[in-house]
Amino acid sequence: MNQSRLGDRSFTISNTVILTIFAFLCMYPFWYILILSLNEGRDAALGSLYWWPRVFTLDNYRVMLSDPAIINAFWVTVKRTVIGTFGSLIVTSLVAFALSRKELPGRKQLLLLFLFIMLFSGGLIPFYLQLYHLGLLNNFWVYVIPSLFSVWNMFVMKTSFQNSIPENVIESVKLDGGGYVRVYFHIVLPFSVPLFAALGLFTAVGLWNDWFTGAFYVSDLGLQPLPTYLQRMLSTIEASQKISASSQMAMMNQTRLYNPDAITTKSVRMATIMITMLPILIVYPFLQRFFVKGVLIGSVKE
Amino acid sequence: MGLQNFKEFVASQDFWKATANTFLLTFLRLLFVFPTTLIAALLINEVRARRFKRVVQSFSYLPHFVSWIVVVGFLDAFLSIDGGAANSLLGLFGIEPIPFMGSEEWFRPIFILSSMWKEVGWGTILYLAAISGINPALYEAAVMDGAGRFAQMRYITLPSILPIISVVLILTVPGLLSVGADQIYAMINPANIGVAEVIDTYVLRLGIGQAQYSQTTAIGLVMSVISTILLLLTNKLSKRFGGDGLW
Repeated sequence: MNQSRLGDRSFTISNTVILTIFAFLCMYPFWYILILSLNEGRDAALGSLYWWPRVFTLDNYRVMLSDPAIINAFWVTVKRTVIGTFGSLIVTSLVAFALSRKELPGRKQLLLLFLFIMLFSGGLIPFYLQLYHLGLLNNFWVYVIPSLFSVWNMFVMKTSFQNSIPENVIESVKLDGGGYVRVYFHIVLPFSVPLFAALGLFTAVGLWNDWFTGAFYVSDLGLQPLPTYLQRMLSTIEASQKISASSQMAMMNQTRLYNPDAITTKSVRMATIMITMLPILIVYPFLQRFFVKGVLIGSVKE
Repeated sequence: MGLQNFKEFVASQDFWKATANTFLLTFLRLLFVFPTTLIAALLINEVRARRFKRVVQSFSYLPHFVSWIVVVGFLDAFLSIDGGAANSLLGLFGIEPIPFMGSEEWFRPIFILSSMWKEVGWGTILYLAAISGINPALYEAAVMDGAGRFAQMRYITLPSILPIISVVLILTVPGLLSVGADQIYAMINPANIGVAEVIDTYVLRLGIGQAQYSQTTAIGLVMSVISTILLLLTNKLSKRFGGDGLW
């Protein structure tokens, strides 16, 4: 008995130590970027920054925010995220609602079709050509229209509608002379608020984080979203030179206001990373339980 | 026309190199991420202090919500030669700065570590949910039989979540053909392209970059067919061996 209690204690202690390290490793990169973004660039280049800013400055943020391109990119991202999330919820749930009704003609065939597109994709290039022929390349709506419908979310919603909305409630609306539109707005929507919240959050995060669309389907820099702006800053050499040239321009214009020594391309980059993830960091603590619920809804089998 | 496009890419050396890189990277990712996630879930489940458990969970889910491009930004900052924390630490031991991001030999470890950082915590959710559904009477009975914490984990928790484990494994199989262009594209540079080029980035480069539409469409089609077949096959196998299928 005594021995097993001892074993229990040492298990608890080592487990706590391991998980503390684990949690620390998950969080430290965020902290590291934060202190780099708040430190003077030249000084940061000397290295050995781990815990606190050594030479504190807000100039990285000032320089970054004085670049009109990033403000524009921020608004493009906000716009696409808001329109895309609501649009996707509406379109996807309408399809899910229709397919959840047993009286829908050709329901079986339609479900098979949707199952097929869930498992099988045509590939990137046909998708690209399709966007081209639809005139969506280099168009703001390329951020919205292709993501309006999600098969995966559709199946999750369909299952939920079938399982959680009592048939007799729907029947009674119909007996009162209400059509499907009425059923959708008065029964399905109010019944599914938590589901919509969870799926909407995932959609929003996905749209906010997407740099791919902006990088490959859009060449107009005025239409690039924030993550794509960051990607151009980080990846190819020529593009990062371009950005660094533009931020150097910004720096030269600002020299009267800011200490030019304080800012390097890298330190401004850190501030850009912070801004890119800031909205998510802000909402995360409040919405975390919805996220967890959302992933579990998605994993329930039919 | 006809099968010309298929013949062309099959004859291309770059294609086979990208294929080999893809399999190696996705296999390594599975090898490291899958068991780590399972172990992390088992350990988190054993925490009795509620607050601590919540903090660990909140912290470990967070990386899932940042864009891959932000992760690459982290890597770039952390591993850079000019003042990155990794090189300053190594400097303390008198090691010359290593250009991690621009080297072939460091690419795979960086790829695996960043995949682990982003997905291990989040992956625990499914397992933890499955564990919370286990009948407590099983544990009580085990304690009566003198089972310690490890024995309970080994003989009750693990077998009880086996169905979920098999579903997770099935779901990773079709992904063996795709590393995810958004993860890798931003990490590729001329210095590491030999080990970093995968099918997804090859298709991007050739298709969108050089307008080789027919050939890259052929590649995409073959990949889609193979991954669908793989999914159907593993699903069947898993059912045959008494595990859970996807449908």
